[in-house]
Amino acid sequence: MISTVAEPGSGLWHAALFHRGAAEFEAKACQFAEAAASAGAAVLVTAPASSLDRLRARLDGLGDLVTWADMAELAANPGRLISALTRFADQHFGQAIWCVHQAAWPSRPAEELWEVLRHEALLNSALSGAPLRMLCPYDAGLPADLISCAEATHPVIAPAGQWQPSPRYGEAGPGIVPAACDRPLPAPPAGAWVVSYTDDLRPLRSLVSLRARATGLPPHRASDLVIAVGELAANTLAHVGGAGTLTTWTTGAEIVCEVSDGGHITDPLAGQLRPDPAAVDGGRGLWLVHQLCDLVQVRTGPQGTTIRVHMRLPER
Amino acid sequence: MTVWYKAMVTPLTALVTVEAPYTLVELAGEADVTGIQSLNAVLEAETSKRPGLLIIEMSGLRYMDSAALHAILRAHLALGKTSGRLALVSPSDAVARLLQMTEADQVVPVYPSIADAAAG
Repeated sequence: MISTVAEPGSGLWHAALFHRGAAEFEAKACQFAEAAASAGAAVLVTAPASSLDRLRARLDGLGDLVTWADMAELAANPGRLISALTRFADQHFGQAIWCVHQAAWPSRPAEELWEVLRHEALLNSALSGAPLRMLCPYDAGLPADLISCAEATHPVIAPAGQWQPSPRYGEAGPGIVPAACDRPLPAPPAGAWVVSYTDDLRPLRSLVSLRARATGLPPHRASDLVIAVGELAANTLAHVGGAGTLTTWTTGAEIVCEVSDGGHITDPLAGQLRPDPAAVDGGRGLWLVHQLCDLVQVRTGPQGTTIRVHMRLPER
Repeated sequence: MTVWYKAMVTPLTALVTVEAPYTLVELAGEADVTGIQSLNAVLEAETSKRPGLLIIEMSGLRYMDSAALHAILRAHLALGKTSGRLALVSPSDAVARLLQMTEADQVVPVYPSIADAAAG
């Protein structure tokens, strides 16, 4: 059985499970889901398709008690996960929620893994009051700096099969994103296109649209990228004043757009929380960008802000 | 110094027809943060006349950002206070996508035609 550190119902319980290989994770995840079902909790399993299929086969008996969410459909971009978890909690208001949350797997690209760790840090503050128990598996085959960041972003770990408080949790301060997640982005390639903007945003959007379509992004995804870049550039004009710069390039696997300006985003949760659909006072732009793009990297400080958005190209 | 509201670069046109029993605002072009003051001015002017129904026809609107969406949601709020209603008609794909992603289409009803909007 899984022992508890925090009592159920006392708010967020957020644990990292360090495991060797898939079998150990799956055994622990099944124990957790069965314990959740017997506690009368709503169970959510968010994982890549391969894990989902195997867990589903083993947890067949729990039937409708479990909601299955393919990570690729729920949130390819880790910046969407807090919104998605909040929505699930809203749909199950009044119920405890136990979640198997596999967002970091060894084959996932490093730049995505670091955004997963940012998400893990942010959910400690964003969901602190939610009646939510989260089991987050981390394969021991992941790089050591990532594992140590997982220790720093999960209040609970199980080094020897027993849950205990993580000694490294909150090294940066609870809810604060560890510095490792904010390492500078690699420089854009030499052939990247660079355009600045000051008032009229139409040429910028036309450029993104043309470039996206020429690169092979399907029309609806190209349109999403135009909306995302349009929101980022609009933020420059609305909140910063002065000029911004768009840099765009393709890698063969994706098209990347980066918007830089002199602003400073001081709220680390900006764009992570779903706005009220009827709200009239702004705050939707960055949230929309997170919903529309496959990966969003925000680097911000007193010197300025750079936001890099990625759209994966269809495989040829 | 900010120059972003410069009216001459506003890529948006709004054609207003007051024709009982509704007021029709036809938006065309691109509605973004650079034209937000003009859009707010038109919508505030029309909502302050307390129409029973304000229809925004959007088929000619190629693009809309969240700043323009906020102007529309403010009009919805203002009309609600005077027992009027706001209806959106035939958004293009890009505009419909924004309405759907933000769930604004759950707040303000969207219709395929002016006749449908007028019929409610």
